[in-house]
Amino acid sequence: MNSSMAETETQTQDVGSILSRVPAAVGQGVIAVLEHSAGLAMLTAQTVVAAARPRRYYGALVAQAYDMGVRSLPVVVLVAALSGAVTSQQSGYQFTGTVPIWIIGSIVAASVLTELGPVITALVLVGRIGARIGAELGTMVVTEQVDALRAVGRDPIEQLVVPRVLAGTLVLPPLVAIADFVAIGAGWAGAVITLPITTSEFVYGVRSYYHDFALWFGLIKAAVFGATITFIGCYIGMKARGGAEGVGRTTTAVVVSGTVAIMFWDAVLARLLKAFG
Amino acid sequence: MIDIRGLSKRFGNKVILNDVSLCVREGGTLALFGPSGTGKSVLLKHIIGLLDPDAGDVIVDGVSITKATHRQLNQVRQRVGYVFQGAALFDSLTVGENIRLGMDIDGCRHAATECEMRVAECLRLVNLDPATAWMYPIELSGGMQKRVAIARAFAGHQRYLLYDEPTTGLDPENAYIISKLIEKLRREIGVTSIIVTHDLENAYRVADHIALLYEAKIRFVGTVEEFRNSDDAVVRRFTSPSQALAELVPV
Ligand SMILES: Nc1ncnc2c1ncn2[C@@H]1O[C@H](COP(=O)(O)OP(=O)(O)O)[C@@H](O)[C@H]1O
Ligand SMILES: [Mg+2]
Repeated sequence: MNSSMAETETQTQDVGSILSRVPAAVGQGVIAVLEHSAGLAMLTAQTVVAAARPRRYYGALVAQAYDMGVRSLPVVVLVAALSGAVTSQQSGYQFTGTVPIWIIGSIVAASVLTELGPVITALVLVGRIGARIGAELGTMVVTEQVDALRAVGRDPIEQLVVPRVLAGTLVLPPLVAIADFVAIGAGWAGAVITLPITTSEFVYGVRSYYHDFALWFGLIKAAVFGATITFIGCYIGMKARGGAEGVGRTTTAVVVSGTVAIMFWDAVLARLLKAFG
Repeated sequence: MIDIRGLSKRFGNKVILNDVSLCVREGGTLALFGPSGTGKSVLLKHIIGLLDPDAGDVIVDGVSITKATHRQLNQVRQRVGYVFQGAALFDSLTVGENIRLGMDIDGCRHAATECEMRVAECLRLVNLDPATAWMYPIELSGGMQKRVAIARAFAGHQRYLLYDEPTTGLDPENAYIISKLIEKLRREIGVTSIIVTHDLENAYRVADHIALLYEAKIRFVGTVEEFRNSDDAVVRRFTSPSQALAELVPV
């Protein structure tokens, strides 16, 4: 009895002390947001300036593009195939009866081209590319390799950040185009195998939806996502401090903020591009 | 000439450097002593602008490091070789590529064979087999990495060299070879250098002046003779540690 009273007391105290800390925590949160906004703006400006001399980072750009593009293909293709198949199954179960069956083709094409292709590919690559960049640059910072680069008169932004961000921006659109193709193909295969739909009905559905703008919309999104993933990896990696633990925190931070940033851009770009389209 | 003028630096509320001034004349060699964690590496990093001071300035070869443009700073950095305390080799590059990075901003402007010969020569000077050029830093021991870092620092015939504990962690033979090399670079190329070290023997051999960084200040600066004969209690902890510390630390 005594002990439970004591517990209640400490709990009240805890709530009180937690509440009293809220203003400070909010203040710190606001400061952190402002600091990161300033940091991101600064790195963006430095990256744009440093991109001016392609000759100096061309080699690194090609190597990064190869690594990001070719080596990401298997996982991108696999995830695209699965999501295409799932979409056609889902819509097959939902649209039965009064709706014409070819609509499944339209639904698969619409969701893959504008949403699934770019977004799922980007989310996979946040882990595959973003986290790796964060860990790589973070390790270079804490082992003073970034300082050593400066010491030999090279600009780490030009040598490390620019090739990665450019490679990500260039490589994502073709990866997403491949993912779109694979996902629609898998959607078709899934549909004709399990649903009462023929190939020509499915193709008719795809065609009746398809317009160039949908494809372009998806590919522009892909480029923005590619820049975002690599940029966040670089930004967080370059801020790493304090040994292996610091580098470990870096990768977590890249995955979390990269995922949030992709969803954020997805919402913003939908409004932005639809205003034009 | 390297002219450090009234340099102050703090991290948080920890004062690391407090109004530190030091000057190394052209062709001179200064050995910098000081207890671990006083800020010797921090001081060295300010010389090529890897850290920004809270106050003060460093003038290297006539260029103010705090006021230099991006471009000027990179030009100064190419004239200054820097040996990091932890070697800091680029682990995605081979030893040879690491050394080439020290040679020229655009890799190597000379013919490829000329470059390879220079890499081999630099490796030989730090007592490493030229075949090491094809290996990756991760495959080398700490002492070997340190010697590659030294080779990277002087490979481009840099006229200024900043060594952060170049002989720490080396066996006596290699420590001797490195201090001979430092001496040779000074004598033959007229390199101006600062050597952070705990190695008295090495400092006496290669330096003409010695400075002691202690509690964020320059406690002592003078010639090697003056350092040896100083009766300052703190200096004596470095010149004759067993004697000075026996009085200080009761067992
Ligand atoms: N980037 C940094 N941020 C915060 N503290 C630092 C940083 N670099 C060095 N320090 C601190 O400055 C002090 C001096 O470090 P350092 O110059 O490495 O000492 P040493 O004389 O052994 O070379 C240490 O206490 C170290 O923790
Ligand atoms: Mg040090």
